[in-house]
Amino acid sequence: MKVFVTGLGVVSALGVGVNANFKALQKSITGIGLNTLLKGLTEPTYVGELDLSNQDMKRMLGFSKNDGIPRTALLGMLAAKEALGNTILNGERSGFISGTTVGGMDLTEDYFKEAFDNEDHKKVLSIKTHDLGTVTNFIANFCGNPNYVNTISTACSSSANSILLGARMIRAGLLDKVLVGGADALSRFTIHGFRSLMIYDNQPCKPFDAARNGLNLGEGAGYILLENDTSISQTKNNIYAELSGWNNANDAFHQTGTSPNGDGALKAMKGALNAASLNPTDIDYINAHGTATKNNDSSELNALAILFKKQQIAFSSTKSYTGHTLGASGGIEAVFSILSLKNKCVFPILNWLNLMEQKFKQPVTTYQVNVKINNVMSNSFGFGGNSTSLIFSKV
Amino acid sequence: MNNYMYSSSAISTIGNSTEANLLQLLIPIEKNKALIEPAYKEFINPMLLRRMGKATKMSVVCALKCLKKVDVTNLNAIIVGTGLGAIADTEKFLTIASQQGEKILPPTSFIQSGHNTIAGQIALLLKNDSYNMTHVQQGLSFEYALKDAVLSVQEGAQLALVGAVDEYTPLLQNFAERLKLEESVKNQLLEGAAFFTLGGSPKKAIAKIKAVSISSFKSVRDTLIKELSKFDLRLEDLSLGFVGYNLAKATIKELPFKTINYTNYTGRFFSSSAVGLHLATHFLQHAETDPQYLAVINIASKNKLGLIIVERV
Repeated sequence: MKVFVTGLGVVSALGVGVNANFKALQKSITGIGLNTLLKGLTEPTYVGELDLSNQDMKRMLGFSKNDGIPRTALLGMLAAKEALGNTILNGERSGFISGTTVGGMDLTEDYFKEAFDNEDHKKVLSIKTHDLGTVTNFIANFCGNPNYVNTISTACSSSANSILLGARMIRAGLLDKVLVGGADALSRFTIHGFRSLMIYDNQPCKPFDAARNGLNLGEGAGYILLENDTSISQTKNNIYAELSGWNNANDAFHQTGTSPNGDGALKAMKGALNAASLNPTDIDYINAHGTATKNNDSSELNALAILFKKQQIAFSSTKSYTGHTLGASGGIEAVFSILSLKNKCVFPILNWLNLMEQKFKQPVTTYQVNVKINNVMSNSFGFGGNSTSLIFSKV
Repeated sequence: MNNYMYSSSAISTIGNSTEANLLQLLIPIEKNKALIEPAYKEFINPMLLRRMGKATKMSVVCALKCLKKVDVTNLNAIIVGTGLGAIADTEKFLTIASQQGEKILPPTSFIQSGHNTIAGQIALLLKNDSYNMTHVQQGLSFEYALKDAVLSVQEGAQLALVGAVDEYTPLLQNFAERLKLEESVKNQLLEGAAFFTLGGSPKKAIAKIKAVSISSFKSVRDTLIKELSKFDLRLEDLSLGFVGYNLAKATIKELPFKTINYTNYTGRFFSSSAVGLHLATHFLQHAETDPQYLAVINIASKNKLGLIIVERV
């Protein structure tokens, strides 16, 4: 059973909506800058921040300002609303699967900083939205009343895996339509965390560059609507692409680091090609994971070299525009991959100057349009060795 | 396609007992909250063990014990469900970060706090490069993980490891008090883990997973009838139900078969239905009467219900 993509929704540092994001990508304008809305950091930090406050988003979504809704859920609802359009998710054959890592952490960390010793009962309520499932429920209730509502949390590959799981559910005939992707807000927790690992760049990140020095975190949400033929015959939604291949594998090398040759990445890419019955030469563009950490980019590039050999493969990392949006990245980059497919274009990497130490495979550095694009691969790799590759194909 | 279970292992108040009369030995949670724990260091290198949080430690050892009983050559999936993940490490990193601010912090608790640290750590110890997934959906985390395992077997996985875990912290108890949760929830808050192996071959199976479903409910009875009918079963086919409560208070008195409230013995935590399944499987293996089907009914919230039907093989 084929799995089609019939809806796209995205929110990132590039703005709210597919159009705003596409325009910035076309013009090579980054969303990364010094933090403004995220408070409590003592030094200015490069982040991919959406310039809307929680109150702004609540207003846009029709909530009252006193509603206790975590930022991740607000970002998620904006993207989910766009992806669904007029489609409503209801009943046993519909699902919503969201990938996230921080969930309601923004409200939790404010509570820890300001209110932990405060006996005010109202403040402790903010802890109720901490867990990831609660954040997913907020978005699911906003989308309708689907029976299957689930959260995947596998670090930076969370939303790629929610897409993979949705595709498997459709292929197995268990669901007819499912909204998949993910959301994550910026938080001090994750910024402190990546700083503690010494992989946070104090300057704008430089994926796949010789002088790359770590990632910048970002925030946002990206969802795509997956449907089978039966569902499309009812919703009459337009088909943007086919999700033709997917695979998840484990690097099984180190809790946070990747193996030198990206064994997990290679297995995931091969598995996705296999599932789609495609050869490496069929792939026209790769939206790489490319976090700009020394470790990830080196392993990923080596895995690309092993798989694609001498082939001139077009690849870039759009994290140079959005920052690394963690659990949202696979969803956001799935939308970008489909935009590339639909508009026959390739988005260039930003801040790139020199080939990495391997001295091979240069990423795409200028915007290309009217190129042949039949199949796009999107990679997402996370801590715990979690490696996922998805392939979107022209219909 | 049939889904068979080959092994089951738990770390909880009910332990991993092989006693045939385990059900008679159960002690109400109000009288005993101590877990029956293995010597973790017999399974994990002490250096590594020191860094691991409780949820990871429990899961890894529980998974290893579960895998001991089977041939792991073709372990094609590692799937974990958890409601809160490594919450103690999350609390720890939050506390350090709010006290020390911008200074470079020790990364251990941040690394350990990821929800997929558990499944990742199992893969790492087994050097297993296959499908690795973590489901985090409150009181239904285990049911979603189990559904994924059943699907993986349908897709061709020869052996799938699936389990669930949640850990207790004093801070969670503190929040439960401050949030004024139900008395029964506050009094029974606890932790535990259970893991299982599944596959498609009947050889050496200890039970069969007949059904896993998640549904919204108003009446437990009506929902059970509806869900059972999808598998050509009727309420009368069930001889015993293991019923657990999560955050919900609901009580069910409307069923035509005997029920055992497992959360009265295992305590309450988001993924307690995994221990419920362990208990049900144990009962199925040792029962003197001949029940064909047992149900694990998880009242996950006031309107969501998880149902697992285990069949005798």
